[in-house]
Amino acid sequence: MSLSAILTTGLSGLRASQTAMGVVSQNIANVNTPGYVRAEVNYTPLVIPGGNGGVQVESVTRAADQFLSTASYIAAASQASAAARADLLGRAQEAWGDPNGEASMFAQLDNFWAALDQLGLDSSSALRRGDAISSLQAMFSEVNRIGETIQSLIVEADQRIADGVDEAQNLMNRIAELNQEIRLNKTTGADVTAAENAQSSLIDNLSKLMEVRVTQQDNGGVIVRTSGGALLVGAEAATLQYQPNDANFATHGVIIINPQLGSNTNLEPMLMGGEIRGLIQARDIDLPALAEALGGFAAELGDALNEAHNDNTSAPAPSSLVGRQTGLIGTDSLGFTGNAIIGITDPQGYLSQRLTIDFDTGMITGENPAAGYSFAAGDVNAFATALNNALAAATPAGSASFSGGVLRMNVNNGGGVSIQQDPADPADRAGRGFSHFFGLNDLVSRSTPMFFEHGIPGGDTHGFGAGGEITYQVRDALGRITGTRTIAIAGPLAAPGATWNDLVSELNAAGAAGLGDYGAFSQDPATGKISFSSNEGYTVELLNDSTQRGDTGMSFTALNGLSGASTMSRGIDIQVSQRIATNPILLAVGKPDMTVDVGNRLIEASDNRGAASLLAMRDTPRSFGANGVLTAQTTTLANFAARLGGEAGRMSSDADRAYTAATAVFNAANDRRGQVEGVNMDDELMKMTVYQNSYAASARVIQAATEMLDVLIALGAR
Amino acid sequence: MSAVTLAFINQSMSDLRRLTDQLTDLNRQMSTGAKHHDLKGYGGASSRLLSARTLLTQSDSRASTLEQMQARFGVQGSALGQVADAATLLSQSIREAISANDGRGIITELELSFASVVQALNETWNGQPMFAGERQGLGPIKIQTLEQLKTAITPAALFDEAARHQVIDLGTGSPIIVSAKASELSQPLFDTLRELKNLLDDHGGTIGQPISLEQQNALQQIAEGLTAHASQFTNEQARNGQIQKRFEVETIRLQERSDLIKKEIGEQADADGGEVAMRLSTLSLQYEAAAKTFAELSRLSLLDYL
Repeated sequence: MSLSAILTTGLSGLRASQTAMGVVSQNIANVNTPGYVRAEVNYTPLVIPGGNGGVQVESVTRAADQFLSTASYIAAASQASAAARADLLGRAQEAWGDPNGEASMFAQLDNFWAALDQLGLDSSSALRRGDAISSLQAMFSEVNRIGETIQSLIVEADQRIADGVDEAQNLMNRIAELNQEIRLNKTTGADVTAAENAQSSLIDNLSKLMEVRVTQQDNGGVIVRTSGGALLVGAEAATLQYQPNDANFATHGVIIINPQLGSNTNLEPMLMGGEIRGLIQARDIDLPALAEALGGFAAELGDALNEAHNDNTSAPAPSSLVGRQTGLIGTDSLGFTGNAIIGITDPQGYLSQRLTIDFDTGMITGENPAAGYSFAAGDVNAFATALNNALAAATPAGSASFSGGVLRMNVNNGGGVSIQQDPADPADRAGRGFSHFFGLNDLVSRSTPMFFEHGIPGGDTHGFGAGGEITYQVRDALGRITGTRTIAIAGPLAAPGATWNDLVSELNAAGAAGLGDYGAFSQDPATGKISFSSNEGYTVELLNDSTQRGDTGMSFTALNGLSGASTMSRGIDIQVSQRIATNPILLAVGKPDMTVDVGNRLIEASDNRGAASLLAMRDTPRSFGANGVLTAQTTTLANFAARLGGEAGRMSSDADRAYTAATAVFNAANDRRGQVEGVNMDDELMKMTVYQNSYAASARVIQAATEMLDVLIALGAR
Repeated sequence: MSAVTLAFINQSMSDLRRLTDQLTDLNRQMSTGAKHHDLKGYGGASSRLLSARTLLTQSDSRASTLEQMQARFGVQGSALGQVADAATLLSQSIREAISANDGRGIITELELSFASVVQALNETWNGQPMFAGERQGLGPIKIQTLEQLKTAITPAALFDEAARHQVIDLGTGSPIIVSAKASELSQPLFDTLRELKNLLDDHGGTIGQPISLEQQNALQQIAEGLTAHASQFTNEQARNGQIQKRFEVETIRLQERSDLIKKEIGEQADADGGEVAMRLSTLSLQYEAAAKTFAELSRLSLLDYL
């Protein structure tokens, strides 16, 4: 080897050591950079024609471990998903307050029961009645506040999904840009570790939003897919589109991937983890289940109290009764069986007229004057007319009317009106008594039906005005929107006499006319309630319902409880009846004695049996339907309330535990990855010493060769 | 330059954060005395706690109702005693008059006793008449004078009361009659008082001196009747006392029940001071150890040897 070759070889050593020192310095500088993967220098002997030429840096590579990275992405996605759920469910359960405190919804309900207990001591006390009403109002206010909190959390989750999609799009765009940069630099042989590290950090961030799988490309760059297979970054970044909806009880859209290509693909089924998955789970499943349970609880409580309240009365009896919105129209079949009794009292509270309604024979029979009032036509209008005639003949006279789905009764000149079920043959329509069904003396109310057993038979006219439309959105098993179906009240459905059966048939029509390809509507003959059951692999969501039943303003879905707005919202708008809230004297604390002779007192001021009936509702086992997170069960109202709290606590606690577990896995995966890929200061310092020594040695070789050359030159000079 | 890497720092921070969270929770438990402050803390056991609290409220509310009823029974017993005393005193006065053979004071005693009986039977508690059944308003005795008594022969003329008794439901499924109605208690007494009044009026408004044998016999019969009526009221007073006693026992039972429920709630909800202290000690130690380990390792560096 010539001296000049030795000089060149030494120089290559100097250069290689210098490059290695540069890498070490880069590693040390990034010792605290999250996600940084240390770089390593790979040497190779430099071969020149005729012999060795020293050393060269073949490449600078990242100490990345694909398997550990994948494990880390999965763990990060799981943790982010669990964190999102735990956060939202934690805040939802906080709305209930301290279960051991005195201000929670549960404590307010207990206060109401206690106030009813105390009312038994002195039922005539306006103060005690007011106390009971205040407690019930406070309880429902708490229910409303919790319901609103849950709805706002659903809206927040939806907005966070939109934010997450935007952030994911930005990350994907940047990853795609870095792909090009890495490929270009790799082609030119430049060091791409910095770009790869930047890209790795972006993928780490993306994996928190959605679980991803990363495939390294031979020519540099990566392909990023979701765990479910959706291509997020290939040759270029995919386009994600999501439109949030901040309305309560909204039907939310889906995250569409590549809409610019005309695709209708929903990304959501292809998301196995990540914050967005957790938010979707909370928005679509967890929080609605809680809201449904809360709404169901409020309605079941209200309905139970109304059942007792409608069979009792205040002392003095109220002079007017305004029923609830039933959704019925005058031409509907009355549909009651059994008997009910109406007592009309004079201003002193003495029974002046007793009206016995026999729904089986269609006759109202009065005693003073003794007369019969037929409603044999059997519809609601005929009944209202007969009742109006019967009340008009009483002394003091009264009236009755039915309009807008509401039955009204009143007695003039300071008289009162009380209604009671016939104990031997109680009136019944779809499981509720006469006054209870019409809500004539409801303690708890809402502007739309609290329950959906309307009892309208399939053969009755459906009554929805022409022009109304019900629009549904259909999704397939992959969550893709496969189409919308609009059922319009038009054509045969708009013809006079079109029935509920006709409407159900139209809704169940196959093809584009109805939803028959995706599920089936059916009517329960006992309750009249229409329900929908979707076929496997399809989900049907209501987009809009502009139908209106006669003059009631009630839509098809609101009447049958076929939307979140009609079921979940019960947790937001159920209140103590305004009539009683403003005048607690109207609290039905007594039980009218319908057996007394005309001229005797119907109700006494100290009668506390009505209050006892209300209180008995706490401990009387009832059948509760499935309501969101609460399964169908037979239990008492007190237990039902406790179970609602238990479910809210359990869900939140489970989500919290899942988050803790996911965090532990995430930390372990990250630690393991960090150990393999991260910078170890000791390693780097040792490498630094070695490279420093090799640099010095190479310099010494050059110096020696130079000295030898000097000797040669000196010899030649002589 | 430290040898500590990012992974190590993250681990240490995570450990310290976890320990800090746990210490904060212990601090809150010590300051509030409660194990948890929300449903999440109790998890699925929330329903057990809420059920227990409902039972506690129910028990306390019923005990409070009974305590208030005790006050009523006190007033009610006193009123019944007043009637019994009035009848007894009148009976004694008649007997004394017979033995003194001087009936001049009987009319005065009759007026006083009548007024006392009417006042006692019209007695109210919390503004509501105690012997009028479920009716509210004025007392059940419609008459105010002996003259009115003479003409008030029928129950309707004498009494204004509800058809049903006043009852209270203690939640045992069988409502208890709080008191008998005035008509049930006092119709025979008023009949006897009317008889005496008629006797006196038949003799010009008073019986003078001496008392005839016929008058003596009539008075003797009235005195015996009054004694019997007085003992009826005494019996009613005893029944009143029995209910009072029963309520007292029930109140004690409810208080015991309430104590048991409170104990159960306490076991579920109250922070265990001993356990908190132990955990506090352990966590403090762990915290110090973690911090010390971090500090020690932070000082390690190869640089010192290079």
